[in-house]
Amino acid sequence: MSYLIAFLLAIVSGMLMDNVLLSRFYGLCSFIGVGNKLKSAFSMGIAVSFVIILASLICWPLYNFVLVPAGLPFLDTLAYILVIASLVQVVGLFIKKKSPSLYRSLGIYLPLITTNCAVLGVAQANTDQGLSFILSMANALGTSAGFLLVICLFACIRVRLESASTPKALKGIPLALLTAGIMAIAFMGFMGIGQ
Amino acid sequence: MEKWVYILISVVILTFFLVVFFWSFVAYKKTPLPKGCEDLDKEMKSCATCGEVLCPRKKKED
Repeated sequence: MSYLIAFLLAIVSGMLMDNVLLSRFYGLCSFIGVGNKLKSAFSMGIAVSFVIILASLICWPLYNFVLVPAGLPFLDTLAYILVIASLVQVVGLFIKKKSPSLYRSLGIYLPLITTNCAVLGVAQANTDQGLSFILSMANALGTSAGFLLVICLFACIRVRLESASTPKALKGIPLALLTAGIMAIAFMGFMGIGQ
Repeated sequence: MEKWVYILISVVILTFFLVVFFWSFVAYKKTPLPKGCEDLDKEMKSCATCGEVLCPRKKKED
């Protein structure tokens, strides 16, 4: 029972309190670049979530059962980058061949996922913090749900900001970053949940 | 198990991922675009997904 609670807490923590975008500021490139239309933001969020979960599923055993016993834990970043790049390519190839409709909505965002540091950050955090396999999967699930939630919320806000009258100097990315900062402050409020 | 066996396994696994990456990269490039997605290629080339408003190339295309 306590293990189930720890699993659920890790998901909620990764999603709200320790949100990958708003508290660790990983993956901001796609967050700012794609987060101006809800549909593209949702597609990007789904694609990134899928790769985060799959990468965590492979990277944790690779580190703990192969790299550490071999005395090569310093190769973790290199190994994770290889795993993520291969995963994104294979997923992209599969989607391109088998699902034209999915390719239509995700295709142009797929290459961006390889360079998304949120994916590498989660895999690295799972091993650096010494989490068990189940907890690292919970962390991956929570982080990806948090990424999806925040990128969609941000897209909704940016759609409204596009039509708002704002000073010329703030138009575009400056206003997006200010909005992200205010969202980060709002999400800090969730830290009180555990106390 | 001996340490060198683990090192060998790591090298084999990393080489495997490297081969998978290059194979899928080449296969991705060779696969023709699905029907109805031809305009996506144009979108990609015109940087439609990029949000960088200060990029000189994007300004030119707009």
